[in-house]
Amino acid sequence: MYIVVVLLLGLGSINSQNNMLFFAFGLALAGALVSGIISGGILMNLQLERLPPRVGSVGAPLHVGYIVRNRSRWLPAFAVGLQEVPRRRRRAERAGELAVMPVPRAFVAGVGTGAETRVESIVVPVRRGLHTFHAIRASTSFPLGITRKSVTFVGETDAPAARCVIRPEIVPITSDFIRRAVSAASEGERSSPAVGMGDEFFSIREYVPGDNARQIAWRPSARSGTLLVRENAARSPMRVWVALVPTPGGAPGGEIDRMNERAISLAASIIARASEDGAEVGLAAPLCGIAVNPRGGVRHAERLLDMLAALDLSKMDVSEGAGFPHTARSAAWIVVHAGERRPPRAPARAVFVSAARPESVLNLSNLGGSPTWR
Amino acid sequence: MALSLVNSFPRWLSLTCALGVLAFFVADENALVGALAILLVVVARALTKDEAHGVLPQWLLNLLVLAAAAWTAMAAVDQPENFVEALATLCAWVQVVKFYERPTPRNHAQLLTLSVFTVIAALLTSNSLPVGLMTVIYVPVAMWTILLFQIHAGLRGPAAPRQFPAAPAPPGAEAAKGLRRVTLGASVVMALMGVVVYLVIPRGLGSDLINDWSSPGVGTAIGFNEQVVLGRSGELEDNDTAVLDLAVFDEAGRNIGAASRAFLLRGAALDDYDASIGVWRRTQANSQSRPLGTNTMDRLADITRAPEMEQRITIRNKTNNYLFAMFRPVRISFDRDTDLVVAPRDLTLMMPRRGGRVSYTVFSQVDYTAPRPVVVSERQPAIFQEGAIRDLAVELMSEAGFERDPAVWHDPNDRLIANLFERWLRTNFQYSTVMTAPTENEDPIEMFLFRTREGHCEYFASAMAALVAVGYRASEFNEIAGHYIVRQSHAHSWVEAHVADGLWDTFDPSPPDGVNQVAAAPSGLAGRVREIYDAIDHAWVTWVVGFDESTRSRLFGVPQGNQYRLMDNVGRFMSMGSGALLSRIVRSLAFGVLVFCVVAAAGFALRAGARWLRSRKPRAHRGVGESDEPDPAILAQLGFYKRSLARLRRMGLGKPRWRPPLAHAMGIAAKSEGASDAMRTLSELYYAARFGRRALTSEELSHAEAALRRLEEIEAATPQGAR
Repeated sequence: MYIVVVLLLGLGSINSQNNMLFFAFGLALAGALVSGIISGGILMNLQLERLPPRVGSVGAPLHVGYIVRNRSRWLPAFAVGLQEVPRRRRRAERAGELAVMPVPRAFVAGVGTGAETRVESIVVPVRRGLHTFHAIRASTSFPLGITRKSVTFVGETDAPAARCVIRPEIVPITSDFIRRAVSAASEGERSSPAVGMGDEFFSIREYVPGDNARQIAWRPSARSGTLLVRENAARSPMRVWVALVPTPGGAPGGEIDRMNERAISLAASIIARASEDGAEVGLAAPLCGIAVNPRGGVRHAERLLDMLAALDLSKMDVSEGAGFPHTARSAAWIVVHAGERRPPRAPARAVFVSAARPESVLNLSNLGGSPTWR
Repeated sequence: MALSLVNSFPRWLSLTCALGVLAFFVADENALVGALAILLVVVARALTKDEAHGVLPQWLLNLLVLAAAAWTAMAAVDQPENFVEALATLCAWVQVVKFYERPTPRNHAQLLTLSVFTVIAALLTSNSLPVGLMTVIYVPVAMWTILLFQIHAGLRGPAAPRQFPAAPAPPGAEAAKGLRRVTLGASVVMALMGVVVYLVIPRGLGSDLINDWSSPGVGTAIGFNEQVVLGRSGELEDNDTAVLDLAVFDEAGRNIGAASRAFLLRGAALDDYDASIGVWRRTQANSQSRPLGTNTMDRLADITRAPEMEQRITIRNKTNNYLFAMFRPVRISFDRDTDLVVAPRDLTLMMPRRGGRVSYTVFSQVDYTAPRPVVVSERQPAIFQEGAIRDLAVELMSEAGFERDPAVWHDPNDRLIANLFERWLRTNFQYSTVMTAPTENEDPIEMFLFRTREGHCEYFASAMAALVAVGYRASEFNEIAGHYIVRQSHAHSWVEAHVADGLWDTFDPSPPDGVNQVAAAPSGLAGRVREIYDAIDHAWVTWVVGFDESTRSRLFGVPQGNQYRLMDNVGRFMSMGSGALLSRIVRSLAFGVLVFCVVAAAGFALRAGARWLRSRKPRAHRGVGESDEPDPAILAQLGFYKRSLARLRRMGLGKPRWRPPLAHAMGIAAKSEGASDAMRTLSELYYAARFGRRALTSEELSHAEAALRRLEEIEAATPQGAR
């Protein structure tokens, strides 16, 4: 449109021989030239560095930071838009894939000469998976908005690509679900061979100053004639296996895929909740060949979540041999399945949770804005 | 980025649009309407609370825009010649309406675009000094606003940022300073380029192809009326608008203008009086059309030995056919090709086809003897054969001792009689701008002569009952500019009388004191200020608005002619033989390539020069008290390291640039333990020399050679496919 206006100005000035229009025509031509030079100069003097996040979650804001440096000594940079550019792949490679998150964009209002600034892009991932950051496109139409120029910053070819693991969406599980599941299994909770604050008797010993008076065992003390205190055994943490049984088949974005993703989200939420409650959590996905023994700690739980994030449902093993792992130590089993029917050959006294009917576990009315559950 | 800077964008947008709207309405001479529009914009700004809501509902705003568009369509149909003005008015009012909308970036972009179009329309409408000044102010303001808009729109776009500096926050003043620098630099460059285009583009380019081009007018259209209508009531309008500029030179080229000296510039000579309606008209006369080339002097009449006065005249906005000059014009030339129409009977000069700004030079012989006998039928004055006016004329002549037969065309005492009548009218009547309507059946001239005994110049001229000449009286001389400024209020009527055989002379029976009082320029400080403004305005009209092909040719030393007529050039090309045409094309192409190479070479040379200059500047070293460059003697010892990297590459164990040497040595252990050991040794020696800044001993160098030999053996032992 600008070119059309310039041409009309030129024709109009020749037609009318209006000297001020000649001047305006010159201004318009100069505008295009100046705009191109300044915008190009801004971009050529920019240095970009990405501060990629390592981990994110579906439905939770993900902050992607950028450090923008302006190397120019005389030209400040203004109004620069940043946008992530995915790697070019063939259509066959892209077919069937869904984007993990919207394209991160950021805007740099201004960077002075020789200065640097940091900007953030906040995106909300919509799908679990592994996101690889490839290149960043910086563009600007400063100063006059006539043309938009862009420069693409690509990382060094032999440097490892920046990756971000997008974990499944963590949704609020009802507060006593883990305990109910463990109670139902009545296998999860045991006492440990150590003194602690549990309820089970561990031993009797002599009283030493400083012991709590409530610990005094009066009857044994009366019998023995010396003050004796009762020691209880420590509670052994709950051991919970979370088993994930997705439904085979289903194209990405279809109904089966949607239910599978809900099941994964449920499994992840249960793992996170159990870990918060201090339980030892393990993960089993028989059809995907995953079996990780229950362990405690935040790092173990995060490792399980990362495994769920990277789970590739297209490589499920639907052969007869894929069964639930047998464990030496007892634990409660929570089987999360995508379909309505319970999977066969599940461990005894397992608690079943269906992604199609999760009402027993979570409150759907609170999840209107959830990418997985809406 | 200082938030206050970006938050000032709405104010700057309002200012930009207000300037654009005002510029147009000033050009359209409707400043009050412009002020009203700006007031509405101010009200809209005051009522806008936030960016989420507009002041008025959208349906109402759409209705207002539709109404404005409908009005524009009707105006365009009514007066197609004013289409540009109607369209610009629509743009201006749409801008006002849009200020009542929700302030979104899209809305802002539309406002800026409309504002630019409005200013362009202002330039199309008028090139007057106020419009020019407003344009000069508008350009940098609009630039600043557009720059702010880029930032403002981005901050409210989908990538709305959270931005914070990695370094300590730069103060807001720095961001504003940077933006001002860019604005100033860009404005200066754009203005310079605008001036270059303004100077370089040939005027009249394609005039034969596109249109019969004419120069746009400056200011009010000249209000000259070729009829004199007597018998109106009211008061003469005192309009100060400048309509033409006049510089007068004698034969020696001296400027003979002065505040005490007035000149009469005749437009038309009216020779027919219709007493029933009190109107003087010009009867149709044979006229000759003469096409004149640029700066070609055309002879209009017989030239005698009387001295000539050169008049350089610029009509600022010509809208009728007449040209103005002192009587008796003998030669004329124009600033560009013109079709001149001359009536030989009374030497009335006309230019029917050109409008707008017109400049020409005319030579007149004011005091001249009769060049030749005149045919009686050529130019007949109006004659009052009977009635009170005739009786009064006879009575006056008798009192002065003249006896004249009205049927005789020429009498030797005609000049004396004309002087008598002129003197009598000047001394016995009052000059007044108040117009009195005659009673029923009363002739206006008789009313003037016998009843009111006062009136303006048209009555005085009519009373002499010869030929009424209408035009302008140039009396306001600008000392600074050295020329006369003729205004609308200087319109005047006087008399041309036949005083000898073939000789017509000019008489002005209006009392000079009365005329001077009406035409007097303000005195004192106001007069001085006006004089300075008029001088600037004249310079503006002459050098900016009036910059034409002749001036451009003089500036660049290019001969003026028809070389820029497109069709002529096309015709010349078409008539060329194929050989000559091919040769011409090849020469043109070669010239173009040569120019391209020269410009490209200059660019590369500049770039290389800049790089060389940068390389000569000492580089700042961060955090290091001494140069980071190692001793060249130490560097010379480290050839083993490069050789080891080459070997690893050939073995398929190449080190990535981002990975430190020692880390890489440990990293390849899984693939080749021997290579890893060797590389570890080499890396440690490399670190010691490169970063420890010490020369390696001969023993260490032998260790390095041994490690290299081990690598060579491993490479030799590794099968080709495994690398």
